[in-house]
Amino acid sequence: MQIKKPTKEYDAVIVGSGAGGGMTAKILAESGLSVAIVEAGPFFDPADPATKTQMRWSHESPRRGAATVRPFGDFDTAYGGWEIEGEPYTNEEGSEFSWFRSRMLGGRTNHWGRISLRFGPDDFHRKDIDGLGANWPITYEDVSPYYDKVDKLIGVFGTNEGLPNDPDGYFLPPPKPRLHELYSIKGARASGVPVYPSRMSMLTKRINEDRGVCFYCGQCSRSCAVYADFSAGSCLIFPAQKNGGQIDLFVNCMAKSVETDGQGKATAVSYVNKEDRREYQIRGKVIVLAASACSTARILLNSNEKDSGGLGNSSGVIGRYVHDSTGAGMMGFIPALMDRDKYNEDGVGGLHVYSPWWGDNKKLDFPRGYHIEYWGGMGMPSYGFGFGHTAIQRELGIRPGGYGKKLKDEARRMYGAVVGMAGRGESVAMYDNYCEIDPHQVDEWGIPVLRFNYTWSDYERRQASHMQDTFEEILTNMGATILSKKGTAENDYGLLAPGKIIHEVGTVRMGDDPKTSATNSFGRMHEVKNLYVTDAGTFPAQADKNPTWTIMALAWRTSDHIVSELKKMNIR
Amino acid sequence: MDRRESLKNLLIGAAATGALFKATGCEDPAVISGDQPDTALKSYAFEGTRTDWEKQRDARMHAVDFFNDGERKTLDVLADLILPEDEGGPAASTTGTTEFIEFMANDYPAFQLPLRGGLSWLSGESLDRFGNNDFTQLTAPQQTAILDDIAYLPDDKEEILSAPVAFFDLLRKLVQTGYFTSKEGIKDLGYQGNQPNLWDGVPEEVLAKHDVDYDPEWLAKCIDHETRDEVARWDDNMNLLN
Repeated sequence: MQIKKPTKEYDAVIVGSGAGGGMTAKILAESGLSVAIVEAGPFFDPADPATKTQMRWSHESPRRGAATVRPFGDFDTAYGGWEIEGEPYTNEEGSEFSWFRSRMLGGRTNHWGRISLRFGPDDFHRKDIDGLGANWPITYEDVSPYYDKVDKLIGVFGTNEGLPNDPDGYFLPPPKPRLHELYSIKGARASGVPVYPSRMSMLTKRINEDRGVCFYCGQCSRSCAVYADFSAGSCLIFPAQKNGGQIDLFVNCMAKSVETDGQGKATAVSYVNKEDRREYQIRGKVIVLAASACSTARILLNSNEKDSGGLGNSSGVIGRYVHDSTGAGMMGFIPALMDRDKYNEDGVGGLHVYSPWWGDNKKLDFPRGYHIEYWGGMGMPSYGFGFGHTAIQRELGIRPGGYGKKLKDEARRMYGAVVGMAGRGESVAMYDNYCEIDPHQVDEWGIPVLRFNYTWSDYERRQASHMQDTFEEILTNMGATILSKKGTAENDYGLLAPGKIIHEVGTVRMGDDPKTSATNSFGRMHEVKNLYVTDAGTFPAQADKNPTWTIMALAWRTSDHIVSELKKMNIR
Repeated sequence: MDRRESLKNLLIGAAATGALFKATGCEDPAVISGDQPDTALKSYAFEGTRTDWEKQRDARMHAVDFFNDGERKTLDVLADLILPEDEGGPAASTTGTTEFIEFMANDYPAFQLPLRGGLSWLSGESLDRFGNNDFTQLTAPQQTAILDDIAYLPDDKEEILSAPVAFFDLLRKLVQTGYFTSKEGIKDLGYQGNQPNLWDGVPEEVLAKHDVDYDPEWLAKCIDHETRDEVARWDDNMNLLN
């Protein structure tokens, strides 16, 4: 066992190697800076055949892909989950936040859905529109040049539709809809819900000579060995290294705190090396936290020399305003899709069509919107196949249960006839939803853990109620019978617990006023001038969109700012 | 996709979606003794894709026999009654269903009691009704006579299942998953994917059968695979040039 010990002072030390950390590392390294990345998990390269789960069959897993170990199943490429042995977190009574962490190079970018949506102009100033939450200190115009650059660097398919709050981009052509998606389009349009090609970061077309093009296995959650989908390793860190960027990777190193010189300057990151379980420090002229919203808050709150409630936290906002996307779903069975002709419809991983938010919240009883994701089709059978059999038998008027050839034939006939819809919406950031340090518990690395306090409000419940009605109507239009129970007031209309959608943001929010925000509009800590945040912690407000594209656009913008400040000698 | 379903939701049918269930924690089941020396652990396929922690856990699951030989034999017979050989594929037991079910019993301990209890119940039922405590030795009509009593769910879907019915319901689910995720079962089902290809839309004849069609305007925006290897170029107004 060889322990890599930091000896030199880097220009920049970055904590985290996901969307934010990866992008920051790429831009800084390609600008000639020496960069160290501190990553809590192991090295991971999607192209490594040894660890590759792509193109494997269900029967290669002894549990046939069941989710007893990895929450999205054995083939999913996230090392970790909502629960990690030795790395707990706690909840206040009545709070039910679930915190997903992926401990590996590239973090959660290795498995995510690649739904790559720009925030729209309205999303940056919702408070002006409905009086709730906070405006961003920047506008769409500030970010759009960076969205443009991210589109071209990473590659995203989609279509320019000229929608007011779902901006156009530099898109690759999308794949054609699948059969059940044609049903979805028809069903949604019958209810006045628009449907467009989805916008996702898989390469349907080449964008450079270094990355492959999609071969339609539908397994992006396993991370693509030819780099045809986005992950922070394959698209940011490795290319930067290849281009001569100086990036040293400190993997299996769990960041603990940021050290300062006592005069408002950050000097180093303290971390525990998981190999020898000892603590080290790594020095940097600039420190960048991109550990994910909650981990970044945790590091800052644990960096308190003088028991001051955390580093750079005079405002007291660090950890507060944590908010995740809302999520609810429904599924149905379409008798007309029984006895399907068999052909390969794997496509790209996930949806080929989606519905951006179409409603007018001024006329509705909830303030923020949601988008709809559609699923279904003849996917690879995996753990759980057949578990819905009796529910479908009931819909078909068959006596539920049985055995023998009849059962076998039924299963063959039902294959590919189940469809579903999922809503992903914007919640309102609340001061009273927060994470803080739990004074009573440390993880196995000796680091005090986070304690969450998060409850949904009626804003989110009413939005979920609207989702349920919409899904029921569209599925019915599609000729489906509803298999899942429709959510009701008793179960918050099927609203999933906060954290389940894995879009948590807002814990280190940016703003112009140091009394109510932790960073400025460049993600620079108000109180520590050489300390930056480039994960979603800086988001004052989520949108009805996935956060990753915005994380990368802002990380790029912050990185340009860091390079410029270093040149101007504003950081020394 | 739904992140984590309770077992109850799962059994109702989340699985038809391909969504997977999450056990209520990552604790190793009580039947598994603690750490064992690495040398005692059987190696197995798929190992390379696991993290160290997962590898050790999986190896412990493989190392422990949950069922005895009699139970395994009964599971084989039951699997073949549930999904027998026919023109589309072999009998379920020949595709490794029992081995899979045994692994799951270790992997997800909540399955242990209903499975084991169900098998013992079956022995008792076989003895009571037909004078032989080994279900596998009963005649085919005797076996189906027992199964017919436990193989169907009540009309009221809210009704709580009796233990034998719940046992058989769970077993049917596991046998279906075991068979249809096996090499033979996937072939039987006709799944054509998991191979490099170019998705180019629903075949014409299928569109016609289902009375749906592509909107020409939509279709015009989709990828023409002839151009997939040309490096994308745009003008300054977000228009793709090639």
